[in-house]
Amino acid sequence: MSGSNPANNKILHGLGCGSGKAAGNIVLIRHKKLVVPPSRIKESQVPKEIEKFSGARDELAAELDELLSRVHEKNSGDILDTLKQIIFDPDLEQRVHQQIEEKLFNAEYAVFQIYSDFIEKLRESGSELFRQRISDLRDLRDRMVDILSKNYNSTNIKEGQIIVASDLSPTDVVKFHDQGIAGIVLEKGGITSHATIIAQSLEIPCVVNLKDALKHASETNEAAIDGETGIVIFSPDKETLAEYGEQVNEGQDDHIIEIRKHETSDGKSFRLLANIEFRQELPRLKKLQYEGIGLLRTEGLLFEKVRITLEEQKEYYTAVFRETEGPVVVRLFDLGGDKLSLGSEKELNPFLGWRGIRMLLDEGSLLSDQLRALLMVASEYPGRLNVLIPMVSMTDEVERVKEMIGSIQKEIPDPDPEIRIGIMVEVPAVALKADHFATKVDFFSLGTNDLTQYTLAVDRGNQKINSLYQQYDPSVLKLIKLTAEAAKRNDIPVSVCGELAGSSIGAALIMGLGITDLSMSPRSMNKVRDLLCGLQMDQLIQFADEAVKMGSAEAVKSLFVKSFGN
Amino acid sequence: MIKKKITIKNSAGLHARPSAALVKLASSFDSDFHIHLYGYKVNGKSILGVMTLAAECGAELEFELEGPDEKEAMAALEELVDNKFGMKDE
Repeated sequence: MSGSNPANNKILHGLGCGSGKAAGNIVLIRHKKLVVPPSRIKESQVPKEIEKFSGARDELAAELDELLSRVHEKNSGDILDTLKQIIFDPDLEQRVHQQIEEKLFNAEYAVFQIYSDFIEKLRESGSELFRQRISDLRDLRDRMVDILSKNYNSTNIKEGQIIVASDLSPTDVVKFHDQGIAGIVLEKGGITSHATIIAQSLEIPCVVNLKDALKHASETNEAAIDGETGIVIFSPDKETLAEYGEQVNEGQDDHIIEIRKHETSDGKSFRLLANIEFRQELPRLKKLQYEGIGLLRTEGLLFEKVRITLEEQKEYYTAVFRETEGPVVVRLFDLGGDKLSLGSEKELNPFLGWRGIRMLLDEGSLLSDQLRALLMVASEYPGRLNVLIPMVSMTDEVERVKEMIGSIQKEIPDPDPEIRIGIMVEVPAVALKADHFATKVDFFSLGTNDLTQYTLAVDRGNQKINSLYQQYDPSVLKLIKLTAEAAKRNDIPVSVCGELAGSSIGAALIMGLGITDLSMSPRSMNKVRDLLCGLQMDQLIQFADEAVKMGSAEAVKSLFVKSFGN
Repeated sequence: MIKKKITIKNSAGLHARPSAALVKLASSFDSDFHIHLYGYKVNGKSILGVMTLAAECGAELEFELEGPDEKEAMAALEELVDNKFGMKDE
């Protein structure tokens, strides 16, 4: 990299994820370094490097402890025990210290070097017995380097920079947002990937799915990006830099909106609710007109720190209740699938596996701690808590959560008597049996992302078949309709909290199918509100009626254009 | 300092889990613990050290202990090896 590269406006195209333009200096984030280059430190930095090493080791040990506390099978417990013995190995520690103190290598390189030495020795010993341990050792080494380099990276980020990475976790996105980055470019990811959704919600200009982004970025110092069109310009000239840089302020312009009644032009009222995951998203809500939190995702708490205390949970929930208005629908930890799994074994089919409530019921203390924290906070903010159970497929799962809630409520001095308990409708079987479920719960929330994926048998994270993931597919609409009708017959509220609600076509369909509570990413609210306020209810009903009878999502899209223009 | 020759009796040898058990037990004593085999000497409280020995069934190790509780430690470690590390032979 050098600063003297001529500006050549190298233009590349990725997928734009919204939130305007940005320009700035590039920071490369590389995870999983396979080769760690030797890097020397000054003698005065030795104590800091030693401390970094111990810190990373303790962090890794805590991760293993966490796993250990969740694993009940004896054999995997033994294996985890052995892993902990490895990271606290006195010989290993002594040698790492030597590398740092005597050879003045940084902690990252010292760890990489010493672990690699041991890997080599074990390999040389030629014993088949240690094949598994060699791969464990390699995993531990990479994880250590990862922890060390992430700490290193995060301290180096400056305000106004553009992050270029292969992929990021949602927690990374939030952390970088706090550090004031201007934009994000990712090699991987789609519009519905988790990191992208968070970037959108935090209004960080973001372009994903840009092939070889890291390679191009490493050849230059600056980039200009457009989150709307997906254009990324490496080595931009002065004019481009200025043009894209100026747009930043415009993009972040929080146009104060006039208070308008949330009703269609013929007076049918609807409610707009927010999907929220991180505390950093809350301030923006103050500038929006919304009726409550329709989906509070909580698993993000565990991405940051698997072993979260009751107090830390309470603090987070309290912040949400304090800084928002109206009902708060809190979804219990939705782990598994493509998100953090607590299992020690890789599942062949994680989306059909141990996820959501299935995992929570097996991991009693994780669930009871979360419920306890929620119910304690609810007693301070009575009448607002709605508990949402993810990935329900059997009524028995609901009963068990209800029992737990009942017994925890007895421990609380002044419990909120109005807690409502509802379920995510995301498994097609639940939509088909919605009448049955409706008698057992206080509300439904349609999770259309997973409902679509399960109905169409399309993994939405798989880039090869991405185009088959069609959320307007009439089969999905039929399931939404069945759910809405069952909710109405049984007189319980129903809302939609999937991505569908935040799109114009989706919002029109949902309203037309009789659901008037729409929960979405805050950034979609103004658009949906403007659309729905300008339409008549009977138009929407007619549109949805016809859409359900169509053959494909494409046909539904055309019908939308025909009915309402674009 | 005391030394004693110990023979590995379980068929799979000193593989990962027996190594872990040995290190765990050794670490519960104050005495320093070293193992000699084929001219190598490793720290018996280091799992990585013990594993790199790759001692197989029938291997004759020399345990070397030095410290305030060396006798108790030797007795306990010998018992562990003799009991095939408390595992069923695989």
